[in-house]
Amino acid sequence: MGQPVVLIVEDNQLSRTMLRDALRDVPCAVSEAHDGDEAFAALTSSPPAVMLLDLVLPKRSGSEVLKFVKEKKLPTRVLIITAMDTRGMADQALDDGAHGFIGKPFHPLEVRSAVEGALAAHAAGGT
Amino acid sequence: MSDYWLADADARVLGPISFEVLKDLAASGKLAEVRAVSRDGRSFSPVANFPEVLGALGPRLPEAVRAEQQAAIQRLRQWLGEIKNQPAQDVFRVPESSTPDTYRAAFFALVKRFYPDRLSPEATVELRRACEDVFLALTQKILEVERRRVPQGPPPIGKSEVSQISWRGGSVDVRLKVKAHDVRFFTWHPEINFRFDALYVETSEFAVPGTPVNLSIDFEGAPETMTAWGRVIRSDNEKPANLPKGLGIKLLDLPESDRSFIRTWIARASSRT
Repeated sequence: MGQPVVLIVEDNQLSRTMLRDALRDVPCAVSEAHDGDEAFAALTSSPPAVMLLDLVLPKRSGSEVLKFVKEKKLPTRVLIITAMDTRGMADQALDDGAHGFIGKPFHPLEVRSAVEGALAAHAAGGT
Repeated sequence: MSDYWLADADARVLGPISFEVLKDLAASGKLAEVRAVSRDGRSFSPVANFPEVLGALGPRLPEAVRAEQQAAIQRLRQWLGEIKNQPAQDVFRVPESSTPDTYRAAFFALVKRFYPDRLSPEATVELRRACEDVFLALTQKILEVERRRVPQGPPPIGKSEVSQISWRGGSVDVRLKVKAHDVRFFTWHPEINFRFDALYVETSEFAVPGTPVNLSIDFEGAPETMTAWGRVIRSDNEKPANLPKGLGIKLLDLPESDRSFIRTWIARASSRT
């Protein structure tokens, strides 16, 4: 069995690089999507175990991607990573089914810890 | 339907969000660059067609001011590229043989123009970021100068320490005494360091990640105690082999003025080693 896939959905290259670096010691395969449409395509073809999702994206927003995961009942655990880190935004994302919410700027250990937790939840099939 | 989709100048979309969330984000200063709005997620119109959104966003900058700031950003970015490989004396425009005090005076005269907290309230996020990048680049240059200094005077006495650590309900109160020459809390951990708004404090206490931490930091010679809060991001069971047991703490909501103070403190301490 191959490694679980973590999909990074982020339009900013620096953020993508930092997220990849944060996951270098996590046993997973990392893939990337640069906008909402690419995220939809990745989710449709092969849902990843975990998705790191920015909320502000070109073409389709992160919230729409998150709702797609919920509506299709995909097994993907979604971690929101955003600068829009207000209480209201976090509550809305969690209500829409996000597994966790991380504000920017993020610490690599926060990301690693959150992804490890989400991977464990995915493997257990829980929430 | 109460949902809104917002698009910025780069056509990046946020939404759907409720109007309450929109107001919340606007009040936090996180929606400075909204250009278009949609109520269905498909057709977008200029933000001017949505008076309730305009009202939530607050007064908009005149186009002339916006254009002026955009030009300033371009100039700053170009200058950053130019000074990247210039020696400090060229950046600060002083003779190479100048004393450290002359370098410092030139540094402070230059850097105060770019200190983020000194910018006007109308400064856009992009302009603030550009100024912060310049601020960091200049700090790096003065650090290079300070590193060249020959140490003078008696050796420093004492070391930074955790003067108090106690539990209050589900949170931890930590008080630090930081010496001018010893910034270990901010620098000694390869990952939990001030580069990421984090610090690592020596303690045998254990706290699960996520535990809230209330910090009081007494900097040697500083008139006031700095207070901050954060959360535990790592406890001692994963510490590097060459470090004592301790807690890794991520600082949250740290004001830029405090961040700048600590950066300068670290830079000064580094120059002494």
